[in-house]
Amino acid sequence: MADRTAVISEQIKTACQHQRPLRLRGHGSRGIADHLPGDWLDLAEHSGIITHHPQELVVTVRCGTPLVELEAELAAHRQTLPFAAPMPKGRGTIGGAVALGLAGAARPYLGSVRDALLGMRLCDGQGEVLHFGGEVIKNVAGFDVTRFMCGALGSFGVLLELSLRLIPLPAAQCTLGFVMDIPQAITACSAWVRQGWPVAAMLHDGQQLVIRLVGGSRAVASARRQLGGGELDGAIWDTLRLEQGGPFAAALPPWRIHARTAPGSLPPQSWLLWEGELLYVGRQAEGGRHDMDHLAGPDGQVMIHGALPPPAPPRYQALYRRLKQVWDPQHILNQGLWLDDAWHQSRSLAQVRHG
Amino acid sequence: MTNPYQDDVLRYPQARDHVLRALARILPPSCLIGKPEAMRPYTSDGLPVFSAMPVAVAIPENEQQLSATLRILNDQGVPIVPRGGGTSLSGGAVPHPQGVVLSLARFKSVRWIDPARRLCRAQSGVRNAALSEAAAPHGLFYAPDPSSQIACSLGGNIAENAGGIHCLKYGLTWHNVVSVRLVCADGTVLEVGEETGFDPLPLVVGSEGLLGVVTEATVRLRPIPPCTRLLMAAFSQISHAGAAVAAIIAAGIVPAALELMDHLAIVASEAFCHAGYPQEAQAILLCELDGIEEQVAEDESCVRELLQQHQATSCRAAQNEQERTLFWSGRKAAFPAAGRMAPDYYCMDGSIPRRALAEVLGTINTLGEEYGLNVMNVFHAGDGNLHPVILLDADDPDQLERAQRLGSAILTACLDAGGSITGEHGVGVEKLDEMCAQFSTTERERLLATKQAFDPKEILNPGKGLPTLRRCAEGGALLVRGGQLPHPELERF
Repeated sequence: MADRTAVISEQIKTACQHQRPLRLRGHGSRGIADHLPGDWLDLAEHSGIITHHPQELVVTVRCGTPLVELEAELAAHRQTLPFAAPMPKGRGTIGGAVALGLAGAARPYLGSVRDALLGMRLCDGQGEVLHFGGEVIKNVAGFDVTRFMCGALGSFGVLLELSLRLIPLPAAQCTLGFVMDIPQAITACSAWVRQGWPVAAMLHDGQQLVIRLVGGSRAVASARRQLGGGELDGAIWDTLRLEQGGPFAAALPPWRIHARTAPGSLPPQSWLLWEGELLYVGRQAEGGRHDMDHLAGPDGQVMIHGALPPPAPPRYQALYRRLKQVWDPQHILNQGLWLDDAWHQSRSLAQVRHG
Repeated sequence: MTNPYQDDVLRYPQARDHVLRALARILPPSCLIGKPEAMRPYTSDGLPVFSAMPVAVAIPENEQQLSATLRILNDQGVPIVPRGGGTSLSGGAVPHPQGVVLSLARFKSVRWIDPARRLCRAQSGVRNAALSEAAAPHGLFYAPDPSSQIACSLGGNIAENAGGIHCLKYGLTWHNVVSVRLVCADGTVLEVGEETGFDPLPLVVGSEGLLGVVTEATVRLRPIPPCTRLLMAAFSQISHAGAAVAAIIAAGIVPAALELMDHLAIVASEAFCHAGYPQEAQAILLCELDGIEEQVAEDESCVRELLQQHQATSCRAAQNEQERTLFWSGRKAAFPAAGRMAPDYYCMDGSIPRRALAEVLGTINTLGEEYGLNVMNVFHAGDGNLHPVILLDADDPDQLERAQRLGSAILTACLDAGGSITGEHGVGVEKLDEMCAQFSTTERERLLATKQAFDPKEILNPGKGLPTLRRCAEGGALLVRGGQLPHPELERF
């Protein structure tokens, strides 16, 4: 629970002087930066809630704050983060969640991580502490640097403080299961959403479609009556967030696939989310990349969940390098990330092999 | 004509004939305007106090022509001002006197709608309202609804990250754009938009045409809610209304819209369109709830209770669609109505935390008295986006000068309350000086360098959005503001 802004800024400035790269780490719950070069820049101690205005549904928090702690504080006010970021085995910081930018099962209905992001204080690759966005809902002054940082895994700056929009915990919720195949499930789910039913999450585990309804008690009761299905206890959503069951229970970290079109069926031990746009596929052994590419379809993205991500697509490479020049000209922060040069390729291939 | 450009952004000395000849080689005659009289409609936008005559207006028919236009102008170092519907309220589409206006007027096709995935692909010249019209047969709509929605274009909305009445629940343009096709300054084409990882999309949305030209976008569509209810509550004090707004948000209700009008706005709009607003009220709130019927009923009873707790003097629900339209018509007519209260008005666009509503409204009132000018308030209360409207006679130099200073004082009050100098209208040429106050020198340096990463020769909309370092160092020049009502045919929110 301390403000370590000055220490972090100093550490980056020193690294610049010595031209030694730094790799960023929150809880290290995914170990993404394990595969990058340089000294560790530990951020977990830069933690604590700076302001929480429950009436405003906005919180400003230091990056090292554990997600579990933050959510407990918010829950005490019957509020929560809208994007339900995964927290593997209960670990992970809010800074890590925003840097990764991966939302949970509610993504199509309640928005992405960056959708909820309002402002940020960051420390760039020269150790300069900068502020963009703010605590207000609407703000179009200057480029949206805050949302640009989300998902970039700290390659343009250390995300020191984050201002996030919150949502109230629903008065009522219920989880329903329906035995149907994937095409049927996607069609049904889409139809319910279009009819206005308060669907807030969906998951298909290969056997059944599971949906979560949230809202006022009468609204949820009415939806439950209309939609049918069997009522479940909702434990699946925690299992997904904690990354403990299904594809996460396999021997190796699962494949994560962002698909433009949903597949017709799934390999065993797989979960389909976001009406088919996100898949987790269990990995029992090395290999199988070709099948995953097929599953992802054209324009899909295949990666090993938690591993060093593949380079940015070729069309972005030149722009990435120019933007890196602006925000981290000496390539101090998470060096090599997103680049497709030979050094990086050999690293990421090794990563795919060893998973 | 007031030229909005300072000397340091007037540094593109290409000969006019040379530029026209180069463009004529790639564009058919029907796609190029070079005669000043024919370019007159392009000399200003929704903030007509600023205007300039461009060198030429290019109206390409397809992406190939558009890309070639950019490539040639980039090679020659000629400024380009992209233009959609031309309804910007911050001067975003005002031509550069040494540059070419690039109109997207012919990019009008809705490519496809995928009802199951609730997505739409459309060219950037498609009007905002046309998106919802195209989606309606599928029971869907495009949620961002800026006031100018019958005229403004999707590309312009993306450039400004436009909002509207319903963005409280459905988000700004940002929240409804999945990906865009961006033609860069050098003419190369880039499809932009990733779910995770490195993604330049957030920089592009709201970049005011400084980073590239969007030719197509994939946007999210939302289901048309099965049930909609509009409540109108009256208050004897504006602070009660401000507190009621905060209480509704704090209770966890997310209305589709939550709008506040003060006494001056009520009187002005009632005289203009007879919406049935209570004339004696110091403030009214318009609160729209939508969703399935049971949810709307639950929210309505909760909102009614909160309104009563916050001393609403009355609360009425629109009884039918006709009455709902009537209630909204008064809100939508508030800006034209202001035009009948004074020869000119100046509409501000500050954004504040909602808890500061009552306090900042009080400050604005005090400031208005101090500067001897009436200020009308009609705004998106639910998301803290103020639109104070300063009433004045711009022909009176003293009033104009006071209005400028009052405007600055109001934006300073927004910044002091932890807010922003612009919630949804953009910086354009209008708020360059205020940008010096909101951002530090290093922050502005990074923003300028980010622009150069996309546009190394700085040909895309130069002199907009970001102040030069020199301008801020010199303390900024006072801008001439004021104004007659731009586009009187449009509804104003």
